[in-house]
Amino acid sequence: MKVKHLLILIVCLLLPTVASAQSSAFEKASQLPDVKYIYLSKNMLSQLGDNDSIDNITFNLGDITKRLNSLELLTTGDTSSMEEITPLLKDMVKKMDLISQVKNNSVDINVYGTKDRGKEMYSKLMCCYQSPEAMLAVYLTGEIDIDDIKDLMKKTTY
Amino acid sequence: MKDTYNRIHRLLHLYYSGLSNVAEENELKEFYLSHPVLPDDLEKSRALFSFNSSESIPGIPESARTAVNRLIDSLEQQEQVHSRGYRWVTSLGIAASLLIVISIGVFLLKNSAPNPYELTDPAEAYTETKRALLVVAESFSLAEKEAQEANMILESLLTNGLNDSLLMDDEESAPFSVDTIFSVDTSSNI
Repeated sequence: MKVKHLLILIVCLLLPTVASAQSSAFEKASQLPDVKYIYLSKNMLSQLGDNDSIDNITFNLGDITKRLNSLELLTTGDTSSMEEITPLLKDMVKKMDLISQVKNNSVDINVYGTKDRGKEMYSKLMCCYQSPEAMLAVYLTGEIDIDDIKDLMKKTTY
Repeated sequence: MKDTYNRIHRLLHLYYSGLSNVAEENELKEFYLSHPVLPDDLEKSRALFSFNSSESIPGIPESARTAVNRLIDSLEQQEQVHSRGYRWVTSLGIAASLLIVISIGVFLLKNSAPNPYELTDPAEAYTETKRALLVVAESFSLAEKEAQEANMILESLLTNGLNDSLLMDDEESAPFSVDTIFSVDTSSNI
């Protein structure tokens, strides 16, 4: 019994060394030509909420960003890179639930998410936008309230 | 005689308590040999002291000897297994301690290493976050809009019939483009 407990302890200890907030798929994709990749850490995201002077009148991100652990953004207009990125993203969303899917003409927009057991909010959220000309993927981790994100559209004025 | 009996009672008491010495036990033996008839309270202990020292002590049966040997062997084996298990637990304990140190080291190293893709300018970070979150929000909004449209088509199908609703859908639907909120810019690769 003691040995079993020790083995569980060892596995638990190894997890933080293996796990990382940064998605390896996004990181791999970032090496491809004409791909723009942005990573925002928890530290930076937590500062954004307090940054009222930039755009606070129409857009306050504070409530959402303070609960995020990371935000990653991937964009490309290069078709060959898009072909290589697609399987990487498909691999990434394998264990995620499809939240919404829109196919409008040649544009595909899929949103995937993962909830931790017993939790209301999503712990991972990925939004993939793909058209023949461009691809865009957003990957969020932390405590993600979909309703808060939906509300952004109502609060924003263009 | 009463004194003798009292002394014997005392010696017997010592004997049963495990406190008697060899001399006292010999005294008890001699007493029982020299007194063939005794009161009942003393008589019941006769069997313990009346055997002849010259009689041979009954030998231990071979089966009992084997059983005892087997028992000793199994106890030794158990002890070996326990000590081996203990060694395992100790080794794993050391390994776990080392892993704790390594994990903390790797974790600290990973966190301290700057991410080349991480945005450090708050203004730029804010803009990109806003864009990213709007893309997600717009995706949900579009999905809801499409669902509403589908619902409307379904409702008109039920009320007006198939042909009318299909004509209306063709005229009103417009292709969506996220480009309106997110312009793909790959020129400035971070």
